[in-house]
Parts: sequence; C-alpha cells; structure tokens
Amino acid sequence: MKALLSLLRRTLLITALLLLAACASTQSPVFSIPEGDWKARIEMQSGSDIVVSTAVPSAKESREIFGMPLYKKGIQPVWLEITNHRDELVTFLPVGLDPQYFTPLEVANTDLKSKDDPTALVDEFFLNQGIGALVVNPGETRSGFVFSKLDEGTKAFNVDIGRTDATGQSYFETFTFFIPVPGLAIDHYNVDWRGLYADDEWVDLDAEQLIERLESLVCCVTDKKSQGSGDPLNLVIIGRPIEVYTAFIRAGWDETETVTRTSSMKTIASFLSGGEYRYSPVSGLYVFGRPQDVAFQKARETIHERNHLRLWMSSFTFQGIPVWVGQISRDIGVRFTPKTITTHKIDPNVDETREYLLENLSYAQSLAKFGYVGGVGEVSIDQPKGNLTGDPWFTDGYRLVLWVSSEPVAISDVQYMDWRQPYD
Amino acid sequence: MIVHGVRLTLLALMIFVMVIMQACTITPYEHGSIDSVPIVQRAVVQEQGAFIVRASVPSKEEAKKIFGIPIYRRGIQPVWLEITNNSSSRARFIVSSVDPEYFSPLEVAYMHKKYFSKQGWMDMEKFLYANTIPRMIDAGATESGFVFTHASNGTKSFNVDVFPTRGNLGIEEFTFFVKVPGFAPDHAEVDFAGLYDDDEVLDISQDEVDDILKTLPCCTTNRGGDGQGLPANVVLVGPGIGVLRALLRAGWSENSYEKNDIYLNNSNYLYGRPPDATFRKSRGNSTERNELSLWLAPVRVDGKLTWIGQIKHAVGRRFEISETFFGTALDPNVDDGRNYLLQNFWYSHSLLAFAFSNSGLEVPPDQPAMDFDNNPFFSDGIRIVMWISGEPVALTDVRNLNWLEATSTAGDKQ
Repeated sequence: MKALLSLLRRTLLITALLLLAACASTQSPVFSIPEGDWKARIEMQSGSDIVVSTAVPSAKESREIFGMPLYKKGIQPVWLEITNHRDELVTFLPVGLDPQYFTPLEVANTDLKSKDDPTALVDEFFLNQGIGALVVNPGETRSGFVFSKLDEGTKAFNVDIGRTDATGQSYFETFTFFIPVPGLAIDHYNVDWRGLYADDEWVDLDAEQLIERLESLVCCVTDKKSQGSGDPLNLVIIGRPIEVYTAFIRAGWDETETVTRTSSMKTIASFLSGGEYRYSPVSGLYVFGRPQDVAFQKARETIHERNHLRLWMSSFTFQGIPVWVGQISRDIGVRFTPKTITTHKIDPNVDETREYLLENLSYAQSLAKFGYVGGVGEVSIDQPKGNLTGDPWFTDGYRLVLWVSSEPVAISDVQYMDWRQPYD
Repeated sequence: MIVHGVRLTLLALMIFVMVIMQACTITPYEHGSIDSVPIVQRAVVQEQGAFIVRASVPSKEEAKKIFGIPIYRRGIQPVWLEITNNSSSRARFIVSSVDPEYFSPLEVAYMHKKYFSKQGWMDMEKFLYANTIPRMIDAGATESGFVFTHASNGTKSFNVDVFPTRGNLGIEEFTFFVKVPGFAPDHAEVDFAGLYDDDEVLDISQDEVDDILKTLPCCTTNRGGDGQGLPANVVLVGPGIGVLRALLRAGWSENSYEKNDIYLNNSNYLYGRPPDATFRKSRGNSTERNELSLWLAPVRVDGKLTWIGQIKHAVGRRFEISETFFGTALDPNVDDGRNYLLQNFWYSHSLLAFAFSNSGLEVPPDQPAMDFDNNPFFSDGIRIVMWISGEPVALTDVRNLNWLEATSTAGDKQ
C-alpha cells in the first residue's frame, strides 16, 4: 500500500513538473559562451620562471577528444601545459587542482563490465592523454590532461608547484584559475550591473549611513507582487561583482542556471534519480521589486540537501564598493506545498546557516572583514515566523555583513568590524 | 484553467496521502542523556593557549541511547565537545573545523521525523538543539554539546578551531584522534615489538637508504610465497603513532579485518606475513577507493622505524563481495597510486621530505605483468621514500631530496 501511494505521488509530481517545464520553455534565449575550438580559450599565467597554460573543454568538446561522454560520468578533463625555465626540477601536484582527481586508466575503464580480459585495462590512448609524471625537469615543457570532478559553469582550480633549490630551501607556488566553461546558461552572465539603477539613484555611504540604511531595509523577501513576507534578509555582502563571484566559487559554491527548457528537464531528472543537479534554477524571491540578481548553491549529497543563497545588488555603495543584500538558507529535505507543488524544507534556525557561511568564506580565504547590523527583528524559537511557502524560521534578528575578497586572505587576517553585537 | 484543475486534484490527493502517512506515526520521542553513557569520563583532553578542549565520540549503541534515534544508520556520527575559554574575551568555536559538511541539529531531527508523531518530532528538535555546542564561548565560561559529523570507521580524527573575537590573539587549532568503543583496528592485533629480533634489524642513515632499498623485496607474493604480487613501491620513515596520525589526518580510515582464511588467501604477503596494517580511503562511491597495506621493515633510518607499503587503487565498476577486492579491477598503473600518496601526505601537512629511488621492478605498459590474482600491472620501477611527521608540516617546507636528479621517468607516460 505504501509503495503504491509512493508511486502515485511520484507520478503526479512528474506530471506537475513537466507542466512547469513546458511553461518555462517560453522564456527568451539566454546568453552562453560559444563552443567549438577549446584551444582558442587557453589561459596562461607565469610565476618565478614557471609558465602554466590551461584550458577546459566543454561536455561536447570532451566527447570529441576522448570519444566518451566524460561529463555524463562526472569527469571533467583539464588541459595543462607546464614549462620549467628553472635550473632545478619542479613537482606538479594534481591534488591541488582536485583532491579527488581521476587517474587516466580509471577514466578509461568507467564502463568496464567483465574481467574476461584483464589486459584490456591498459588503455594506451588515455595513458598518453594524461599529463603523466609529477616531475617537470629543468627546461622541460610537459602537457596533458588532469581528470577532475565535474564543475560546470565556472571551473575554479589551483595549479600547485613545489620545488627545493640547491641549498635545500623549499618553495611552493600556486597559480589560481577561474575558467568559464561553455554549456550552461548561468544567471549572472547577462546582467548589466551598472544599468540596474539610473545614474542618479546610485548613492555612496559612509559606515554610519550604511548601518542606518541596512537596518531600515525590509526584514524579508516578498513574492512577485511585492506582497507577503518570506525568508529573512540575513546577509549583506560588500564587493564588486567579480569579487563576489570569485569569493563564492573559491569557497565551493556552484552557480545557478536560469530557467530554460533544458534546465527544467535536468531538475526533473535529478528529482527522479535523487542525484545531484548542482546548477538547478532556484525560484524567484523578490527584493527591490525584482527577483534575485544572482543565486549560488552548495549541494551536499542529493538535490534535497543543499545550501542556497540569493543576492540583490542595492543602489548604494560603501566607500565606492557595491553593497548587496541577501538571504541564505539550508535545505534539509523536500516537502509538498499547495503553492509550488514541491519545495525545499529549510532549517528553521537561519542563524545557524548564516554563521556557516561566515566559516565557509573565511576557511576558503575569501573574506576580508565581517560584522553585524540589525534590521530583521528578533523571532524566537517558540514563536517562529513562516516564509512564503509556510516554512517556519527563527533568528536573533541580525544581518551578517561580509566583505569578500578576490585575493586570498589568511584566516588570521580577517578583521572584525565592531558595529553591532548579536551575542551580547 | 486546466493546470488549475490538475493542481487542485493533485492537492487533494496529496493531502489524503499525507494524512494517511501521518496517522502511521503516533510514537512519542524518548531520549536518554549523556550521563547514561561513559562518554564524558573517557574524553580526551587538550590544552592550548587559553583554551581547554575535551572530546569524546559515542559509539553506535551509545548514540542511540542518548538521542533515542539510530543516528549512525543515516551516516551521522555525533562528536561531544567541551570548550573552556580562559581568555579575557569571548571566543568563537568554528563548527566547520570539525567537519566542513556537518549536519545541523534541526536537520538531523528532520531526517528522523518519520519515527515519531508531530509532537515527538518537535520534542526531538528541542532536545537536539539544546544539546548542540554553541559557537560562542564567553570569557571564563565552559560550553559543551555535540557536533553532528559524517560517520567514519575506526579512530575518529578531527580538528577543533577556536579563536578569540577581540585582540590580536591568533586562532588555536586542536587536532584530535579519538578511539570509538567497539572497534579494534587490525594493527592493534599485531605485536610489533615481537616481529623482529634486535640482531635482525638494520640500522642505517638517510644517505644509505637508496642502496639498502635495492636489497629489499621489490614486490609482495601470495600466501604460499610462490606467486608474483604487486610492487611494494612506498617506503615510509617515521614512528608508528606518527604514521597512524598522518594517515588519519590525510583522510584514511582504519580497518578491522577478520583474519579469516578467505582474507588471508587473497592478501598480499611480505616477509611471509599479511599486512601489519591496512587503511582505506574512498571517494564517496564505494567502488572507487584506495587501499594501503603496510609492513614494518627490519630497517631503522637514523633510529626511526621504516614501513614498506603498497597502494591499490580500485577502478571500474565490478562486483565487490563484502569488504574485499574480489572481482574489483585495480588500476594497472601502480605508479599513479604512489604519486597520489605523495600528494596526499603533502597536502595533509604530514610530509617532511621525499625522494624517488630507482630500486623497484620496472614493467613497461605495453607488456604488463600479471599478479597472482590476475591483475595486470606496469611500473617505471621507481619507489618513493617519505619521511612522515605526526605534527603538521607547512606545504612550503616539504623537501625534495632528489635521488633521481634530472630523471624524466618518474611516473612518465610512454
């Protein structure tokens, strides 16, 4: 009986999701990066007599190179070329690029089904495509692929090189790359940030004015008609768009696709399989009369378990740097609602998730400063408020203000701004 | 309009389904307390700077007793902490330092709500919330409670980072290795002191390692000693506890093998015995994982113990019976496993120095050899020697001793 009910429920949901997907397909086409010649997208960085070049083939391009749908298997090849102009050998460390990188013969054998012919495990083509040795000798140029875990949207990675000179002194050099990969329609690719507001709407504030503005903002997001009161706006981010983007990508957050027919189908597929669709579009919540400008998400084991956050760029700047307001919540499961058919159940303790972000960004070395302002208003655990889909939440009422950095900041150098004290 | 109609029907059906499902669970929530199990008594204590941290990990049975839910079954392992802040300012405890993907208490409650009535679920939320350690610890105060982490096998290794919120005091980083009751790792059953007589052990200096390695066996054998095994291409220099801590910090888990005949027959042997210790590291997907086997070698380098090892990297999607590698294909390029381990130790801050030694068995990839278990393999014949530290070593301080100066063959492709 239980199984039957479950099947019925699932069938109805699929129907509903398909209907939603059909609606979504009427949206206008969105901007994406052109595909084709991946070698035309090579990026290069040089350090102390070491030159690193890299490119990341898209799903389609990878299939052409390797004759296998690697992206479908969750594998993303990263092409590297390392030139060593030094007098001593250097060691390249693929773990710095991806702690769980795949070996070439692992990639070659993902479809292995029988043990009849063990020697077939040795695939010379894949072996030769790999970058091979960790060592790059003096004067040598070494190139090839490292097979990494798939990150669609933007691929962010380090290329780490270690060396020990003749005197026994050791060095470690890190090259950081952010490579946009064709194939996804990412929400923030086509936003004209400056054009969000008219020239006379932009206003630069000092600290006191900023605190006042932030504390007088609405507590919560609304629906499309600017009605209702949803999740609390518990975040403030200070940073230029590129800084916000690199900070979150470095901290392991995924970008979000806009709603298209393809992305809706992918959402359905992941719902059915319970698997990950890390770039799944998120529903629009409204601040300043418009849906979020950008959303990031961090998937854990399934689509139902992820953190997500939405950001809106405000019309004010602080010391010339854009100020964003945001909302973060932790999905802890999926449930059914009359308004949206299914929705993610959020952790009612939204402060917990807010503090998680502080830890996450500081460990990723993406945070320069932080502090708190008020403005949400305290909501106690015994008398929680509800969001737009009826999920309860409670909070101490503070907004976390985060100054993000695109350059790495050591955790010991993160500054605390003594604005408001939530824990006093 | 049609969509609206469908939605209404759908809604009615879902309410019906949910009502039925709700009715099934009328069980109230019942829990124990941390006093009902001896976790506080056996807590490991560390003091650093102005902070004292106690840590303990309840076993599966103890966790069930405390929380009234089979929490390990969902892959969740609670870690109990008590932090005393003797500094003059409030301190912040970083929950993510224990597990970057920790579970929040209300999330754990939500994952177990099906067992209870609605009131039961709410009671469970309250209990879990109240028993979670807070992030803020006032000056002079002591706070305690749980962090809900991902479960691991064997000794639990984790960090606890605490930092004062004012002044210029730096972050204090604690590393814990906490034994969990009910688990005896394989290495605990080995009498290491009795493995060799004193006159069997060779005492050498660092400069002699490369030469001595040429006299050590290249590879393992089968149980009978008459079948070719895989190359033993990893050499670790360091005390047992240092190597153990380094491996735990690098994300490896201990094993508790039943030393039954099936296991012994399929194992690799060195010095006439199965591995003294084995460790595993998985990539989430159970078939993609590494297994490391270590044997204590009859050699001491500058007075330090020396371990010889072999790393197996499972690939493909083959059958797997229980916990053994039967039917699982291994990566034929054994050099890749060796190279991975070098980086794994380096990035987990456990590596002091390394060198490549040209003392192993060379097998070209176009003519792979077969081990006794019908696994093909090839190798450049190079072994890695790593000096291991139990205390953290910065990434920048790792020394390359360069025995194979200017070699182009270390792990090279053809």
